Amino acid sequence: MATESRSDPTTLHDTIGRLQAAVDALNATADAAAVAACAAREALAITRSDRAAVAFGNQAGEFERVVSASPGGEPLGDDEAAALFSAAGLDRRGRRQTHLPGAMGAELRASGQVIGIMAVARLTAYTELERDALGLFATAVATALDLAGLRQRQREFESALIEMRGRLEQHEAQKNQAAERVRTVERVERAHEQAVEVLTAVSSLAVSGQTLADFYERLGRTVGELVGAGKVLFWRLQDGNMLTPLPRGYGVSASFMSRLGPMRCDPEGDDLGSRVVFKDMLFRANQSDQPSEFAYVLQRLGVTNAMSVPWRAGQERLGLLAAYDAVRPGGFTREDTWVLQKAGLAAALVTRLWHAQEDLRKSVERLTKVDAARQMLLKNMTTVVDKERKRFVAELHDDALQKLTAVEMGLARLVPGAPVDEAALDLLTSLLQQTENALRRLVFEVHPPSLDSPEGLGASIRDRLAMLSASNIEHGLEIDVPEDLPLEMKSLLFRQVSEAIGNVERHSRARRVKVTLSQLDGGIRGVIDDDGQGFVVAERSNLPGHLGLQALKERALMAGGKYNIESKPGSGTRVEFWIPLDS
Amino acid sequence: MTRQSTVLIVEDHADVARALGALIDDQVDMRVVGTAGSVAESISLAGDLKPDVVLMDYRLPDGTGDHAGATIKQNRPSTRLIFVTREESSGVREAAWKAGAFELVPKSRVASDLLGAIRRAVA
Repeated sequence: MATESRSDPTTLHDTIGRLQAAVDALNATADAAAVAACAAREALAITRSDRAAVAFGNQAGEFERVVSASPGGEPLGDDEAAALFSAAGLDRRGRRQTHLPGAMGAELRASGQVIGIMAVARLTAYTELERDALGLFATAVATALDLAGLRQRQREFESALIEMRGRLEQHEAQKNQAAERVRTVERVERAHEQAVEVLTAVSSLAVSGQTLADFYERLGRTVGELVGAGKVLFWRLQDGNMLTPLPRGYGVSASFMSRLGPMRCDPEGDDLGSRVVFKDMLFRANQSDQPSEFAYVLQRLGVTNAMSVPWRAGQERLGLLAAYDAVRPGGFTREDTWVLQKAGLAAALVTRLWHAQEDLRKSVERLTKVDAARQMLLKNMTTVVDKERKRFVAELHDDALQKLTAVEMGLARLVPGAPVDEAALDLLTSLLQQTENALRRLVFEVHPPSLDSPEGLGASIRDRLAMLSASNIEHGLEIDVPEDLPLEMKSLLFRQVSEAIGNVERHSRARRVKVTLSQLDGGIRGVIDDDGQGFVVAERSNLPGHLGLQALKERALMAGGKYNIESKPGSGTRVEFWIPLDS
Repeated sequence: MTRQSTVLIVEDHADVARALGALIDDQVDMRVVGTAGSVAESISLAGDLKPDVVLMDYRLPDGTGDHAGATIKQNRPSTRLIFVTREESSGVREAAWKAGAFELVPKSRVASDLLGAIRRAVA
């Protein structure tokens, strides 16, 4: 039986071909399990067996992984596999036992170690050739299995390396994150400290300068040093929403200023200036920005860095505060913008404070003047009222009462029963008419009857002007005052105008007089122009009519207003006064 | 017919001067010889016309009646001075008496009292 096929060249050739194909199949496998499965299948083919099994994976002294094959494709049960190995003279610990003719096995050896076993069985006994072929195949399987193990270990090593690198990177990232957090906290703290410094600077600068311009200049310098800016500039929102750079900016040269012109702004505008001023945008651009959205702004200004923040107090938009050309590497940071923003807010508060103080100072000044005028009048014991009463009485005496005396004497001449002297009667009638006119005039000047009506001031002045017709003086009136003026105000304005008209009437020899009343600076301005003979203002106190103009002046000062008179001999007179509406 | 008394009126208000003149000229025993409107004019006219009576207003454009009256009395002591004045303060009365007034007639009572005063002055 053993000699039967040994010398059969066909059988040998076939066996070598099958062996070759089996080794090729082995080479195409990826891992140990695939090697074992392929080995079982190919062993079946090489040895024409009914069953085949491969055990490998030396752990705890036993090959615990078993792969089997049969011609029908069904794997063997665990017991069948164990029986097969046993029949082939192998046990799963690799020890060789006595083998039977219908079964054969081979140890899988690599690097001098048994790394597995393999067995086949069939009903008939195996030839020598078949035994040799299995032995050869076992060598190839062992090599493939060993290689697969090596590959597996390499893969495990690689994944361990990858995992290790991942962990390393994660660790590095965490470390960076922590460092970044520390840096952020430091930056915020620094920004906070700088903001406090700005506020401290503002509070001390606010009271040290002589003018607001001084304050802006000093604050500009402080802010420039804090945010590391080469230039700091206040842009003020002027009339007509024109944004205009203020002079004396920090680090700003005349040539830089000459490049900047006023820019129009608009509460609804979407240009940069409008958005900063009206929409509270915080603007920041550095030349190194990628992408550089605002490169055109930097180019237009001719700077490498720029930032600007609103300059506002409450709802009052004063303009914007800008810093240019960072001196620190990396340009302006977000925190720098915050510091600048605080400076903008603080500066606006100071601006407001300053304006409020200025208003207060003006009020105090005016009140002081009024008070001085009142004190002066009290001291002289001749109040305007006293003087006016005297003038009223004097006019009564000089004219109306004299005429009445004349009338009385005329009446005394009329002897009862005597013929009526027509000429004497005419004279008396005329005298009485003149007396009535004079009395009406006096009463009118004290309080014109139409003054109480809404348009009473204009009507009263017109009535007073109409009386000039008797003196052949042409007259004109321009009046633009609120209709709801209080009666005291209308009365005061009327007496001022009437006083000036009376002066023109009595002393000027004018042919024409013009009265203008208009609103100005929260008050009413009155101007009375005539084309009369005029006079030297300094000599006025010795001239007729002095008392009337003196009263006009005192009334204006008492009401907290102003008074001025311009005249030259031969070129008319202009009397001007202003009375505040809240007096 | 008895001689008419001559009267000089010193009064700066034209209506009053005219009424005074008309009232006096209506009388048979007196007549107006002149009217002056100022202190200077009254002194000059009194010297020229030598009136029996001078009716003197107190307040005049260039001064007061007491000064005019004193000068007139000094130049011609027989001249009677009657002050016709609207001022009735004690200061004015005192000044008038000092100047040598014969009588004071307030303007408010001229119509009723003046003619009697003139007649008393020349009696």
